[in-house]
Amino acid sequence: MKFIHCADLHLDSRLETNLDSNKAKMRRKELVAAFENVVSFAVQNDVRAVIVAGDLFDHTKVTEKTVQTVADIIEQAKNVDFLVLSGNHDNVNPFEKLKDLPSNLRFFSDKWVEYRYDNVSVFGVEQNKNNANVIYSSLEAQEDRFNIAVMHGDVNSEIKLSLLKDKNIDYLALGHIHYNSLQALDARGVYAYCGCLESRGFDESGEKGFYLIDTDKKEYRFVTDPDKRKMLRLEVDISGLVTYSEIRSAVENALKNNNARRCDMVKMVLTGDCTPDTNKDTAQFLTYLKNCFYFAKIEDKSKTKINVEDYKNDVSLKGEFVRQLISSDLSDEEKEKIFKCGISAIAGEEIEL
Amino acid sequence: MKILSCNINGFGGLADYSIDFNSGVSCIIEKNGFGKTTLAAFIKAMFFGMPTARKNSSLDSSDRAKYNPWKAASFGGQLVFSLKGKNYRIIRKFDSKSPTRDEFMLLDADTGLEVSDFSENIGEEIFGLNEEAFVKSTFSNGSVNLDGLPENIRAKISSTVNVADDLDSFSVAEKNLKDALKDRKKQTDLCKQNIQNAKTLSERFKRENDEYSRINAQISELLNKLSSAEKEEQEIIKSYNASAKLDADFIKKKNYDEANEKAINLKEQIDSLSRKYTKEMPDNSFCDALHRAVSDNEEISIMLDSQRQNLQRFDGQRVFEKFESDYPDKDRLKKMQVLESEKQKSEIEAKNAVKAPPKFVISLLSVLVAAGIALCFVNVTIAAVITSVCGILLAVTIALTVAAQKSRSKLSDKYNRAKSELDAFIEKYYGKNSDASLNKLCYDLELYDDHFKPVKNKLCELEAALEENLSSIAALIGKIGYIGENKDNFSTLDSEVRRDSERFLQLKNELNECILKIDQNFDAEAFERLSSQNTDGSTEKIEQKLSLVRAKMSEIKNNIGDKKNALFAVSQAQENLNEQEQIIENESENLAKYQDNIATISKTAELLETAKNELFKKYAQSIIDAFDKYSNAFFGVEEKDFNIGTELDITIKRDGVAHKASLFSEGQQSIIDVCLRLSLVDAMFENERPFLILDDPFYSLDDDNFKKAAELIRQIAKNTQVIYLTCSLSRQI
Repeated sequence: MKFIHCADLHLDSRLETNLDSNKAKMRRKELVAAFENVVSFAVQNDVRAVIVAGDLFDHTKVTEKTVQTVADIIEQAKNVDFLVLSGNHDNVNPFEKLKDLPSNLRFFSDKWVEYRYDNVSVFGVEQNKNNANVIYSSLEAQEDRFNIAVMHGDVNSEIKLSLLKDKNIDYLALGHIHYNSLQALDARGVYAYCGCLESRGFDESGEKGFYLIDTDKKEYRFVTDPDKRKMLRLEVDISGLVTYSEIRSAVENALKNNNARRCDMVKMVLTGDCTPDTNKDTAQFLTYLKNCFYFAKIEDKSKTKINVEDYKNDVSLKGEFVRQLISSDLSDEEKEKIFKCGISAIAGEEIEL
Repeated sequence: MKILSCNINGFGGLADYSIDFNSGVSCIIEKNGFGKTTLAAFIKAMFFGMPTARKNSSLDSSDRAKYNPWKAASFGGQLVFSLKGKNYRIIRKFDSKSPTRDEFMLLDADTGLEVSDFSENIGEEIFGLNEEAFVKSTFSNGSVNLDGLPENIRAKISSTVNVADDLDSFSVAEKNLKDALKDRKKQTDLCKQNIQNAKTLSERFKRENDEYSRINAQISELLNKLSSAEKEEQEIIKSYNASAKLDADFIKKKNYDEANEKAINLKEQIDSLSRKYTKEMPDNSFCDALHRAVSDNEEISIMLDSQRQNLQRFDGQRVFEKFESDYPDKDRLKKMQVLESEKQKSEIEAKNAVKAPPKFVISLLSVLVAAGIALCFVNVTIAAVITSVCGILLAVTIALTVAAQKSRSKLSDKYNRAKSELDAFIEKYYGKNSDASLNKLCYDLELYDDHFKPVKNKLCELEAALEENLSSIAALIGKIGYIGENKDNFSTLDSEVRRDSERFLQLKNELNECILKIDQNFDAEAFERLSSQNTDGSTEKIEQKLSLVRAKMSEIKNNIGDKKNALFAVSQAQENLNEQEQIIENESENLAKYQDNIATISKTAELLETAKNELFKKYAQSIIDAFDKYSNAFFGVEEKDFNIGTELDITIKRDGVAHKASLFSEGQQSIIDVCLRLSLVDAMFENERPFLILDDPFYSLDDDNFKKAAELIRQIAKNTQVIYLTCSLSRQI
């Protein structure tokens, strides 16, 4: 029997800043489409149930239209059950906005709820401060069954992993962490974070997807969609590079090595050390990248090293300015910004910060 | 330090050019286009190399291309200088494109051996200034445009004064920073405005969202009410149906009861009817049979009656009885007929005799006579007449009678004989004293033969048939066990039986129909039970209740419709709110960025101001002092009517009022320029005093002032090497 473990879709939640409103709308729809793809996969692969381990919606922002769309998608997949756990973003069940709920949509509560499918049991509980001390002792999973437990939280804080060991759990399906991982729980079972289905920001870049659980073979496969739009955060060390062309070439190589495609969203983070002579025309870079990709962003984290010796004998305003700057008690970051600003100002160039 | 010589392999328009320099003033007089500026650039390049493409540098990085040898010659050359008693030779070779391929060598000019006293940054190492500062201070490439520069620093004209240029740079920088600040403030204001707008819209959309939630809640409530109303409707419909069913059942019950009652009634009738027929109820065929029998009986009876009537004709006709018992045979009859003939013959004969008047006539006349007599007593004349007449008549009659009697007597014996036999014969049949004749007898016999006997035979047949028929009828009656009153009244019996049979059939059919009409599934007990349980009232009342509930549902539905319309109007609220919140977030991030920019720019401006002031502090006073020294030397203290301010602004006093240096003549300006340059050199070159390159600075001086300027240069040259370039002999120093 097969099950799908997914979580943290955060439908209708805030997305990456600086997306224009049209692209932001498109991305929100892509998030819903990601869920739709999971459902299609479930139908095509005879999956018995899809487990959503929390944060399906961002309840403060989710629109009724989105909830209805999701309900319609669920209802279409009549032969698949949908077992939905609330997360920390789902304090109020958005499905309550709807008059009619699909018959194949089921929920968990603040006590363990069990759903049985032949020899498989799926237990789920919504942990809160009131039941945190009780739930670990109240889980009753039979040894002769394949037991899936569903929870939402951080194993380093809210979820007491040690109290879940030796509870006949074969697969602990977790949500909350937006990166996938699969590790041993005890001698019998494993615990897994499936991550989120789609990145909402560059802080969530990386492989996204869901786990396909085969209870007969006890196999857990992470399934991704290679064709969907990716959010790539790439660091490029520009140490030693001086000209715009050299830096652009390094950026292009980084993009090529990570198989960046036109449909992807990219964030280039310039790192390393550079000199005042380095031509980091970030505005030009950004224009170039925006023409190549669906969305682009540049963050300059490179540090401009100011060699005091270079200005020791510079009896000019610039030299004096640099000397004043270096001797000030400003932070390195502030000094770098002020340096760039001052040098551009003195040279009569447009000040870009 | 002093430049001793240059040897140019190829540098711009100069190729294979060598020149030696004096320690004091090296005056180079060449025509325009010779390459004086190129020579100056070569000297700079020897000390500082060719400038690279550097950001934020005022040096012209196009010098490499500019001074690429016009002729196919090696790009570079040599320069020999002395420093602290040692002579050095700088050999540089430049690549036309890439600085990485430039070559530098420093040799001991005397030994020719390579030395490492200085690196390729020899200029900076010797003068303590970078190339830019060097160029701006001591080096004049003569390419500066005198027009359009700010007034406060006259020295900017020749780009010789670093500080002055820097002060101009400061103005540019200050303006840049102000512009950048203004732009960021504008952006900040825009962000704030956008945030404010987004917040205003957010408030509105929040209200709409709240409105949405409120309307949604109202719709939910209305839907709940509708659901309750629907349930109530269903209940009422159930009640209505139950009531209607009850009503229908009532009618059913009524029909049921009626049918039952009718059935009972019918059964009773049937039973009652059946009681008359102890064995079996006559059916149609029986009735037909009976009817036939009765009809036959009637027919027979009628025929019998008819025959009897026919016979009745013959009632009193005892002769037929006689015939029956003693039928005259033909011979005898014949014989009688003969006798009759004889008799008739006699009779005729008698007839022809006088006939006696009828007796009645006699009687009548007798009566009339009697009457007349009577009437005579009453004196009726007519009566007397009549009586007379009648008397006469009577007398006649009597006379006739007597005559007749006589004739008859004669005949009578023959006659009597015949008659006697005949009479006997006839008397046999007709009895005594019968007046029947043989003819009558024959007639009667004929009548008997032709009519009576057939009728009698028929009658017998009919009677036999009747008997048989009666037996049949009796058998039939016995078959059905009829115990009614009309056993003997066949016609009535027939009708009765048929009627009873038909009635029985009808009753049976009615009973069957009735039984069919009785709903076997009708549970009368259940009806009674339900009926007693029914508290909802009559169907009409329930209908009214249903109408009310439906009206209420309709109203709720209308309300829901209105609410849904209102909901639709605000349905985009959440999306819009999300969008505005996204905008707020974006703009807040931008705002933070611009505010950070503002802080950076403000700090930069502050530091630049400080740098400017420090620069002034460091160099301005010494520059001012040096400037005063040089300008006083040139103009004389008392005659000097201009001053240099702390901003290195030079002003001239006229009538106690300070005016800008633009009022100076060009010649004066050129002197002031040199003084300023010299003062910068004094202030900036603390280490090794550099040489001074002057590119025809006094071209606008009059002769007297030129002399003064020349003297000044000669004085300066005592401790500063001056390379003086001019294109005119008149300006030779």
